Amino acid sequence: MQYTRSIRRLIEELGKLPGIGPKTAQRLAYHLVTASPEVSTNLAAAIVEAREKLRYCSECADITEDDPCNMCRDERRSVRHICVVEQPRDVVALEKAHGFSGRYHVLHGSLSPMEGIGPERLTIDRLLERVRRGGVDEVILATNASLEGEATALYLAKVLKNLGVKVSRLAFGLPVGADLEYTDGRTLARAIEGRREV
Amino acid sequence: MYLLHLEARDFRNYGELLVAPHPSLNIIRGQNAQGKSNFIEALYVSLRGCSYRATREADLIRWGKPCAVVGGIIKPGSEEADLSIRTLIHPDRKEIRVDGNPVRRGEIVERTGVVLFTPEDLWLIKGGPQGRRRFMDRELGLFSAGYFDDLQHCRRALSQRNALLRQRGGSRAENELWTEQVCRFGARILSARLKLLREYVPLVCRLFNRWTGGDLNIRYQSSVVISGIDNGALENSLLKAVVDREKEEHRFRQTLSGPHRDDLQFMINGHDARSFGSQGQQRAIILALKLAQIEFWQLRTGRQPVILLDDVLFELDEPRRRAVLDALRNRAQVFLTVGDAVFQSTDEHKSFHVVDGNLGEEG
Repeated sequence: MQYTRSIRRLIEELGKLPGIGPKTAQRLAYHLVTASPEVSTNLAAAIVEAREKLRYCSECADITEDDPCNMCRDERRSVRHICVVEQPRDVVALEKAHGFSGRYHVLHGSLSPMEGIGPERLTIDRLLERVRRGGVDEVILATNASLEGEATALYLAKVLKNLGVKVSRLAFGLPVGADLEYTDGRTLARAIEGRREV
Repeated sequence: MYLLHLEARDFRNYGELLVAPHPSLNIIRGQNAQGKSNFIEALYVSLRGCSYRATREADLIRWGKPCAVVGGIIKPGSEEADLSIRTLIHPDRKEIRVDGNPVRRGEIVERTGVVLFTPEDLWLIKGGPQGRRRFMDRELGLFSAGYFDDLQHCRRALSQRNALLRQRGGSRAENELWTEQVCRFGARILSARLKLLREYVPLVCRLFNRWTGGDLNIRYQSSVVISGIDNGALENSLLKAVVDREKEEHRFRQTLSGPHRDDLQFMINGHDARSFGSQGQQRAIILALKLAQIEFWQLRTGRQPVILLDDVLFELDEPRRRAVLDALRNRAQVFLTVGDAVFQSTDEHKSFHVVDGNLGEEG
């Protein structure tokens, strides 16, 4: 089928977004052009505003409107603990858990030579700078449990240990409330590896 | 373990396939290109969650149909409850379910069991090292907990390290990091392979000796000097091998040491069977490998695997054919295809006849 030019362009642009395949892109495009005009203008305005106002925090590299970000300015949050994550969305996940009241640091990815991502492409220099300034007791590495996340954590552990700061890694193991019997072998093996004295 | 029931829809040249096999011997007759091998493949896919011969899984779907389904009911052991298994194949994805719950492929492999004989097995001896590594990874690795995961990690770490070698730009710390990853997972694979072979190889050699009187020896040829069999010792050996070949690696821009470069060597009376073995000797090795696999299943899991023989029986001379049939008799559920040749079996069995994608039981 032939689309008119502007519809085709809209479908192409939507299709570039993560998680959106050709069918979804088509559905969204037709929705946007047939729904009331405010739907499209509001969406467009929201995108433009977000792009204009949002920047990276000069401290933790999280996405923020104000620099430094709210969390970096929050006096109630301990500066002695820094939790390092891969993506801004990981900060949101950890905040939802209410288990951490220190500061964050967002790497914006993990080490992956296949994608051309070396340490210089992540915000590692900025993290080292924060630690060098002093006042930090512990850096908690909360990168993903993937091969690349683990490798990034190992790399950070090495470079941070030279600075004389305590470095810890998130624990891996049993999901809370889970039965041993239904836990997959890989997770169980990690849980045994990471067991601790009680 | 045996299949009580198999069904498939839109799988290869089968529209609908519904079979209630015999718990021991099943004979499938039919002329060429009617669907005998496809039937064997359907059995394999339902028990293994993947094919052994399709280059793309989409090829398993019947021409013009959106998806294929294979599955059935298995009886795992005398004490255990029946298990329903089902694999749904779409052109771009696959879904495996056990008792209705989605599972990873590794899990279905752990809960079922299948040993396949095909004429292509001969390539295990004649072909390149890749096929022999694949045999170790797929057929033996499943008996070692975590092997598939470690293998995936190992491959990915290798790709990452090779990418870094190609870029040549990595810092010292970065190079070390990926070298450590490769060695860490590589050592686990090496260790698991060596431990498995220590149990499996004697089974193979004994069978070979019993048939031919010859002396078979199977060696693991490693790109690494092996001084111990545990993870730690192997990790050190691997690290040393990588450091020793650093210059070469930078020239070829590839990781040259590790389980991905290793091989198995088959020696008959001290001579390499690949170059010096007769066709008959090579066949005997294959049969010994396969029958030992069946013993290995019993040893490791206490269960009998389902045995599939696709067109192999009639390539064998009479004594070996007897040896295979004797070894299989009344021990496990067997499916064998026999072409149009007349095959008389006095054992209790069921016969099926395939014509153009229709499989029917013969009275």
